[in-house]
Amino acid sequence: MNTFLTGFSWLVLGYFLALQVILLLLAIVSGIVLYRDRMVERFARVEDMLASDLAPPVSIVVPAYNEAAGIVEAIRSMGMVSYPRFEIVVANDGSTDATLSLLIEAFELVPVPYPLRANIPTAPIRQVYKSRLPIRLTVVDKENGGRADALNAAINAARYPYVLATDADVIIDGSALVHAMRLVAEDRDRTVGVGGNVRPINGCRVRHGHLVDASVPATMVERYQLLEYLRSFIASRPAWSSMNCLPLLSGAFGVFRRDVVVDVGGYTSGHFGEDMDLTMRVHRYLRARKVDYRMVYSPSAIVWTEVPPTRAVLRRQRIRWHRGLMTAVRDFRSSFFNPRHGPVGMISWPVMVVFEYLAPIVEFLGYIVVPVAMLAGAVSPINAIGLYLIAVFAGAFNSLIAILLDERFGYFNNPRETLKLMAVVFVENLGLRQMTVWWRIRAMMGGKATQVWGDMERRGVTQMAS
Amino acid sequence: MDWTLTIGLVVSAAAALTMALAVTVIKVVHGEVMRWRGVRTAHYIAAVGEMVSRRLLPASPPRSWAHDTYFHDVLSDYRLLLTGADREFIDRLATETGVHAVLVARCDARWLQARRLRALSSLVDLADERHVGDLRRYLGDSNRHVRINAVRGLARLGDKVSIEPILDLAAQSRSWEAARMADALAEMGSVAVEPICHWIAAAVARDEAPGVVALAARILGLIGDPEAEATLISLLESDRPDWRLAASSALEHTGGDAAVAPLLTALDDPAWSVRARAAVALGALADSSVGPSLALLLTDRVWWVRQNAAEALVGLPGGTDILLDTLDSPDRFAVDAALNQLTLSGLLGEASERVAHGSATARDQRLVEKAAGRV
Repeated sequence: MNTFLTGFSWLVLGYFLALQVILLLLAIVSGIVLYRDRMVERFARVEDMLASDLAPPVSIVVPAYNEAAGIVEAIRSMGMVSYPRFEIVVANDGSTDATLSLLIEAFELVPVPYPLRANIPTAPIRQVYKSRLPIRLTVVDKENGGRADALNAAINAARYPYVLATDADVIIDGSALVHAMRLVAEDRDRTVGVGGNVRPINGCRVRHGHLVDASVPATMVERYQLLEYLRSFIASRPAWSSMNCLPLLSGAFGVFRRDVVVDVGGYTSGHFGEDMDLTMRVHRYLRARKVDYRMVYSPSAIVWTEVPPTRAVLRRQRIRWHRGLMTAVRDFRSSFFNPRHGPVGMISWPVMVVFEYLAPIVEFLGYIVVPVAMLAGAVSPINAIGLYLIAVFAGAFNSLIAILLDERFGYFNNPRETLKLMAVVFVENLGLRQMTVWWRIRAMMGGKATQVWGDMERRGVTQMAS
Repeated sequence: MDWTLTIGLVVSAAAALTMALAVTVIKVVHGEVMRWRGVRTAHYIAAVGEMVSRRLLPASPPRSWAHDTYFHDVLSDYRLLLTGADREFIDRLATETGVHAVLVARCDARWLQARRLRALSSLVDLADERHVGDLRRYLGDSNRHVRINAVRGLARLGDKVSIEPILDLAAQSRSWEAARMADALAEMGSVAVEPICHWIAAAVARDEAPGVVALAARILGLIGDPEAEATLISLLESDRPDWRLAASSALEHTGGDAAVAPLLTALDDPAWSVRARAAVALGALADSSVGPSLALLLTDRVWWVRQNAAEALVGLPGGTDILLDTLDSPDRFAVDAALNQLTLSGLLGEASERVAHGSATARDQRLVEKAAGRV
């Protein structure tokens, strides 16, 4: 028994060290990618694309369900995105509030006999509207079918060869689209998808649909999530992108080639992680056809989103996310260490399964087995505490690298803001981290399904002014 | 605690605390550097502004100015903002302070690429005819950002001799670089038309760089000079669909009467994208005589072609009558295309208002009745 307890304790340590080594390698590669991206941003005349007739046109597709609190401001904000050729397609997913009437009034929408190409099957369409104002806006009013179904309806109505899938409660940075589409223009034949850099807007000041001041949020729960976003979007995804093995283009900002989305059948209705599901299906589809393609990430394509401000909302979100991951792990089990799926099958998906999907199980068992091992005398308390502290410091080191890399964007100019964030690096292990582990274990244990339209209480991010 | 564990703990703690200290220091230093840059730039803005307004060059400008990137940036910004005699004064100031020599020397350096590129960005804005040779040399640089900026500089200086080498370079470049080079050439305006047409003729004869031929045709469209019409018509009559597409798009902006007949022929093109673009071009160029030909496209099997034909008809004299007649067509796709454009152009809305106010004509009545069954 003691041998088992000792062995398991070492297994937990080995697992954690392997995770930290992988995170460190990803952060180093991400740092190189971010430096190159900065060079391109400064010297590659990206802004010339804004006045260029040669820019590939984009349809911004926005699913909306009961978004009356902020839909008009959000669409106005999207309409001000700097890009020469784009349209906005909103799919109203059978909202029961005033979402549609507000859109009709604000944008002078008129019903049109728009013959929708039903490339992807969706819930029935009630009516298509177009704006009479000088904004290329189409609104598809449809029966309720969930976020994925609404996205599919909007993609059916999209005119342009590229679609940007986003949400109605985000603020897209003015230059985000041009930075994302630069990667498309750079290699138009191969690029089928571009992901954006999602940042929490909590604590930031927003005026007239634009971010005017970025600050670290007030509560520890929100700061913890900010740190998580930095670790993922700043210190990991640039590296995955450089190896062409991104397992996920975020639902808050994902540019896809429309024909590829249609070919794979669009988003999967009712899926809790429809963005990961679509990204992985695109990988699998193109790999199976031996197509030379790439899906990349643009750190400069920044989109701001509101993260759960309370533990209760965060809990619901994390349970939903982990269920989405569980479904994806089941659906794409054939990609696990599958050389035919290229770097996705051999690198990023195994890492995702072993260090994201299994992480809560290993960590949770560690919290149980290691104290038992101490009580049974299999592991000395000093050694166990020492191991735990090593784990904490190694994690902190990687988190601090993420904060350092984030300096490239120039947010949080007041050093006091950075100190607030750095404090989270060390205290996240005193409860916050364990809390999310427990929620993910709860997600694995099953229970009542959460709603497919997200868990946030709509506050209207475009009106946030903290 | 055994030794390995102790060492691991000490190392990880030291690494984390060192990193925390490094982040704090870098944050503070970065903030101070940014502030210092702001102050320095502000001083240069004030000093150069004063010199421009008084038309006074410093008797012996400090040598440090020529080596200071913030001075280069300020000069570039002033040169872009000012015109006429003020701009000439900035050019003189750049010459007197010896900025050009420093910039060329930095561009020629093989190390510190960021510093090199920053110097080239300033040189592109501040260069004059004396630097054409340097900029042509940079077209062969191994760094793609250097090549793009060199093209910008040559285009700004209106160097016609470089146009054909630039198009040759675009043929060997990735699509992003080729597009930026095309943007730069388009900014040259009419002066670039003749060399571009000459290059297209040579490339077509050699059967080389088909992608850049299409790009060159689009540049001609962006410039919009009628001198390019003959070249574009010859591309419209070629056997390559991408050339025909680019030519039909470009003729929308450059074409005259001579382009109408080939564009009418293009309405029967086997490639749907060519038919769609030809419809748009005819809507912009032609008169009501092309209305019946465009009306035939309302029954095309491709959605885009029908929509573009309907959009072209809305802008054509008598075109709305054709769209109204189409509402009686047995082809439901043609009716949808016509009705869609009548709605988006506001004609349906206006007709509905007149019906509501009792001042409707028979035509209004017909339009509203037809729409009621469809919308």
